[in-house]
Amino acid sequence: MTDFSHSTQLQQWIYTPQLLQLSRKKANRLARQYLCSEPAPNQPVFDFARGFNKTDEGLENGPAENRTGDPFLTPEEEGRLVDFYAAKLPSLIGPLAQLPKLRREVKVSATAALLFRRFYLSNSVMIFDPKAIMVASAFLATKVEDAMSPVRVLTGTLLTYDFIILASVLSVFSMTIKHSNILSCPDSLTFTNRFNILKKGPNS
Amino acid sequence: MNAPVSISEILTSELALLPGINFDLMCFHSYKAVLAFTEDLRTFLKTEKGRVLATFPGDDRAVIGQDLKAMHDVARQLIDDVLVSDVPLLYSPGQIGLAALMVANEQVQLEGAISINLLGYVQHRFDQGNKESAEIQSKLPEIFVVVKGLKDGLNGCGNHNVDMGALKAVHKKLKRCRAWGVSEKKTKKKRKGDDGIGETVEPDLKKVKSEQE
Repeated sequence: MTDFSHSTQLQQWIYTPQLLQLSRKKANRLARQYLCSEPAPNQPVFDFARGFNKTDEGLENGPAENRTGDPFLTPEEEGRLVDFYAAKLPSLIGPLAQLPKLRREVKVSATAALLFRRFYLSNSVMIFDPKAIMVASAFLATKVEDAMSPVRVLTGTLLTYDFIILASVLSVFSMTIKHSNILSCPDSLTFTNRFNILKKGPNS
Repeated sequence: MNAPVSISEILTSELALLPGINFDLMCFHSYKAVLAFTEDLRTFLKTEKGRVLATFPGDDRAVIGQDLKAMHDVARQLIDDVLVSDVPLLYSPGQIGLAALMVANEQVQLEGAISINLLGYVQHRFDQGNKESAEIQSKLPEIFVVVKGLKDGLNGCGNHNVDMGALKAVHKKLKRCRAWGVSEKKTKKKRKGDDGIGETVEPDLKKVKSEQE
């Protein structure tokens, strides 16, 4: 078991309130710039929030409107949405989960909420659907905390028996598409190059 | 959850999530800290030094473990609010745990239960002159206020005092400037045509691609 004093959580993921604000502002600005530029096939994933400590950065707001003239969300408005979805996590997974199949120890929902918040320190709800990221962080948290749950269960609302069979058949189908897709997609391969989990473990 | 998230969405989101958090997966939480501090208090309050820290209303007896249960339970409930808020990004789990115990102590004290001088506990329990001990002593009052503010919906706690009206407005605004979901052009076309259809399902681009292959 890793010691907290050597963990990345202490060294990289603890901020002052001011830094939190600046990090979110930067994420918002980068998202605005991306949405104003020509549409790219893959959305950029940022991770600058890890160890973020630049107090002199992020003073300007970036463009105010997108190409069709609709205003962008402000960092405060984004924060509102992130808070809302983070607060929904305990009802998705953890001891208070609505689905009995997803009842887990409390540390699972805690981890999910923390991972979710860390992600939105450097990324924006305008680029990544907070609901999908919320479920993905719940899925990831079950794996991190060694309380694995099938991804199929996480997709669902309450299903009747017949629907469960139908859903599982459908999910196997969509899973195969998904896997072939991931493997064949060269853009996704750049992600796999970045899967240096062993090097960048909690000890680093 | 009124609209479930599909498996493909979860898996693609997970691929974005992992680099977005820089593959730092390990998280520490305050629940363990609360339990550990309560356990330690139980033994420490029986010692000579610790005895003076705990006071009972109109009663003079030694502390037993059961006395601390109420405080521990309230503190755990407070941590439930902490974990969905910004607080884990601001302070370490140990500091939060201690602050939650202080808030809980204040609360159960009002109900006539045991009252413990937790600041005194920190001063007696940990080495004076230790850098971390000095840090936590200076920070505790601040974290105490932060944790106390959570039940009013401060510091990003979405469990209380959520302004649903404002949230809906944000959501509406988001629909017009987001990169995911129904694209801007489509919503505009829809609006000109039939309003009754409502939200269309986002065409899964990758799926279409693979079908073409």
